[in-house]
Amino acid sequence: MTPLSLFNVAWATLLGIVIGMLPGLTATMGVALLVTLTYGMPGDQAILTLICMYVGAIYGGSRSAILLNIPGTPASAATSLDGFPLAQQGKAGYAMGLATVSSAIGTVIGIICLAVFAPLLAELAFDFGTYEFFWLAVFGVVISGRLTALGDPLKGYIAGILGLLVAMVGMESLQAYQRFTFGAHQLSGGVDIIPAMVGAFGFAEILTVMRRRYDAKVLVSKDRVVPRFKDVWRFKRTSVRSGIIGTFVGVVPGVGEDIGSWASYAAARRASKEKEMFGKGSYEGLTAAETGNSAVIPGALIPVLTLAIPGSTAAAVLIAAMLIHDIRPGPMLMIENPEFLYQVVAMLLFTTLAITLYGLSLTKMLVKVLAIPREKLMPVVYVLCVIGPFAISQRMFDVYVMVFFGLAGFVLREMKYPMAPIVLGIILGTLLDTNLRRGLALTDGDPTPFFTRPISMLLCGVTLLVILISIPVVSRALGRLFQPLRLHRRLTKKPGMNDD
Amino acid sequence: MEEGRQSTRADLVTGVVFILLGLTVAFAAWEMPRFANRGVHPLAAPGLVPLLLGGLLALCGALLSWRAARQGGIAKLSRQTSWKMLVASAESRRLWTMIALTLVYTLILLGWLPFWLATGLYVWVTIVIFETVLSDKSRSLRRSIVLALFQAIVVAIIVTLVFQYGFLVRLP
Repeated sequence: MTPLSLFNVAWATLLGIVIGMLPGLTATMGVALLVTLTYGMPGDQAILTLICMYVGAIYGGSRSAILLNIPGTPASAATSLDGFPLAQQGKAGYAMGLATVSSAIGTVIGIICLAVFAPLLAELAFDFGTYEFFWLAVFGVVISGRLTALGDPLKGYIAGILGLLVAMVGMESLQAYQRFTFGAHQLSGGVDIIPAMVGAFGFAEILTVMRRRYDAKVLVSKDRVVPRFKDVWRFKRTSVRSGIIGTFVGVVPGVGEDIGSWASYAAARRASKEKEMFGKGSYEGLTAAETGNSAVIPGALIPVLTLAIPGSTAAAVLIAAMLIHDIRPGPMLMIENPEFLYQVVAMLLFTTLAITLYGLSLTKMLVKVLAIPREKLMPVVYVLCVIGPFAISQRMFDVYVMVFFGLAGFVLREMKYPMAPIVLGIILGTLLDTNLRRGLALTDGDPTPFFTRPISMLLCGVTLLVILISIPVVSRALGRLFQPLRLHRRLTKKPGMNDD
Repeated sequence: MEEGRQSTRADLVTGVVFILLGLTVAFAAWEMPRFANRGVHPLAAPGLVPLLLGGLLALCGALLSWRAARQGGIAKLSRQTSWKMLVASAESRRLWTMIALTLVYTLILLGWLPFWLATGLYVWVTIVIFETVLSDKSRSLRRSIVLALFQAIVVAIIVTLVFQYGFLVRLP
């Protein structure tokens, strides 16, 4: 750690917190925009800066969730359920303090899992060949489509297919044939992920925010900020459980912090002795939501570093940034650059320290950020959305790509299509395409190895199961199948045991 | 109620769009060269995956349309209320204005004017319009024009200096 690294940690984390706090500016957008600024930095400093932005923004979302009842990022939606009622009860400062400590605990649990499991997964990844990578790409898009559109999986799958189709644009790698370029030489290299992300997560978000007629009122905090040790210790089980759930959700491709937060919150509510307090200002609920969403970040980096598959949309931008800086994520990373994993662990630890310090000390100053009117802020953010894509390739074409993805992303969001499967499709499209065709070429058109090799068989089975469960007829039939079992358990349950 | 009706109608229309898009992609993929003269296996041809994806998109589009039609989407297609809402509500006006301003800035001003001037103009006009014409709160137009002009100048100067000289980034 050099003074320059500490300086980068300090400003990038603070900027991340500010971006996360402001409704309409998400972690993915922040990371995507910051790629531009880190373009001229050495690779390790650039990744450090981007990780600080990522962690800071996910944590920062809790501020507006508590003080405005508007999650600064989607990851903080569950935080607002108990954070805002606490603020209404005059405990805004304490809620922010508890959210800070919970975020730090969640990130540390995720970091431990990253340090322990990433080398093991990397070892396993060496057994992955063409067939396994094909199924991994399919699994990633399918699971992301299923879990990010729980109410309507069909829209999740459509989003995934659209993302994969975008990845088909440009020169394919086996025969160097240009697909869907329509003679435009700018498209021969394919659609760049950064302009697409800045559009889908930046411009689309600006339109959403500017359309709203009213600004929310900020609640003030005058109470104690630093949480009592006994309160933190009281929820140790909730913290550990939420941390593990968050990390696991992070590992699942393209699912992200919001699902981690909701899953942790739901598990905490189910296990809690004070279920009735959830949604009315429960410290336990707040702890679970914040620990869960922060733990997703290191979890999402596990597949990034070992398989080059993003665990979240912000992690997808990190992959693109790593490639820009000549860091090749994936199984070979452990051989080519074995110390990089532990550098990332150290980066995450320093960022965690920074969010804890900022979160517990700059409460009043950070609240002032929420008072910035969106009419003054959003035009400036749009200017940054224009500079970002242009700066990387120096082409106005990429700015137009950003605008296209912004408008398309806005329309799709309005129609309840999730964005994460689109991003994952763009990232994994080439992997899927190349490995399917290479595999078929190797076997002279025989698809058997795609279904008979052990890891392929497992991934194929899980993928098919996920698709089958999302078909209403099948899920209803499965529900009926397990109903007698549930009934039997309920009837034989010991008195006093809770099963919510 | 209105939202649910719009959603069913939108699903029906987008479902049809996805069917057409999927079939177009599949047709284009089918027409792609197969490089048999280079000894490429037919299943390793560049069009294989786009063909599968196009087919899947058309299938998903058909499922979406079928579901929307079962929920009464066809009957709702003829109702006009939401089309009026597209321009009549305050939120719609705000949305269309923001889209228009960003498109004018990106497609016309950038490249025609120097970056700092285009940016300053865009920031200034956007703030003034959203603070006065499209705002529910009554604000003094003169005050908004002056303050927004000050912010626009500051933003144009800072962004240009920071990116061009601080981060050595070329600007549009």
